[in-house]
Amino acid sequence: MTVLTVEESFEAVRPYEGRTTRVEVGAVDAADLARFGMAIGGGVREDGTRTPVLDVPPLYLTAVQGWGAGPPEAELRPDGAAREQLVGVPVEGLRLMGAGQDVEFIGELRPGEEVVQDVTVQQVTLKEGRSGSFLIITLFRVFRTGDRELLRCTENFIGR
Amino acid sequence: MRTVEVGDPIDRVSWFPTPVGLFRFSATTWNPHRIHFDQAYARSEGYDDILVQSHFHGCMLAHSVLAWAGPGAVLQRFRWENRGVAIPGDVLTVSGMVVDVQGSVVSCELEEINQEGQLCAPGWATVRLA
Repeated sequence: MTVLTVEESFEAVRPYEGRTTRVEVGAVDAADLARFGMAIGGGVREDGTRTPVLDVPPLYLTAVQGWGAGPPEAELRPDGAAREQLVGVPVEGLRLMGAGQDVEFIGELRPGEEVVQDVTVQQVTLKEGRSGSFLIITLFRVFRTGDRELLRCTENFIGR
Repeated sequence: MRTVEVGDPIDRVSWFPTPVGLFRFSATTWNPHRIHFDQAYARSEGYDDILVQSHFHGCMLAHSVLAWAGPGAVLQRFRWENRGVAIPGDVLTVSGMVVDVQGSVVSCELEEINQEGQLCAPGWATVRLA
């Protein structure tokens, strides 16, 4: 595998700007939502009481990294990540970290409804930091069921 | 409907990430990144231990503000930024303040800090109260 510098990665990724990929999410199962809620659990307030576990955690759709069976283990990146996380954008050799999301909630997610996700590579930016250059890759995701929008999410990843 | 005013504090909520908790979060989000479960790998990248997932920070912020907002409250918009990493054993505390009120729609500024007072993730939430 050829390992690219950050600058070379920028040149490799930039042509993907504006590209939109349809991802079939499928029917979201109530058990999947409950499992996600349980994995988050609850926090502890100052009075010692616990916050409730949510049945429909709002960030479920935007936190899940892949919706199908995923690739065989041999096709995962060396850091373990699946290439589908960035819809096939070539980021080999970069150390990727999530940097946050901006989510607009539009419609209610109802278990059992078929959901699709359109992911657009919105912007790729090369930056210079104290520890060297890095990329910011911005994805724009829209989740829909039928013709009803569920949410819109702008998400940043940092690649070093 | 409850009365909420600009300047009202959001209830402080502390979270206690554990290796098992991070594993379960990775499993349920189908996230196989080694930095969240493989301590040797995390150390090879210069960290003391496995890292709390970026989305887990977001969930802690979102769930804390929803717990304050009460039953039936709905997020209309939510944003967070990952600024600092966290590892199992850290105590992550979410706090915040109401910055705008428009009828039943309340905007809040949030922050998640660790036990050293270092900022891990600021957040912004717009919530419709029940």
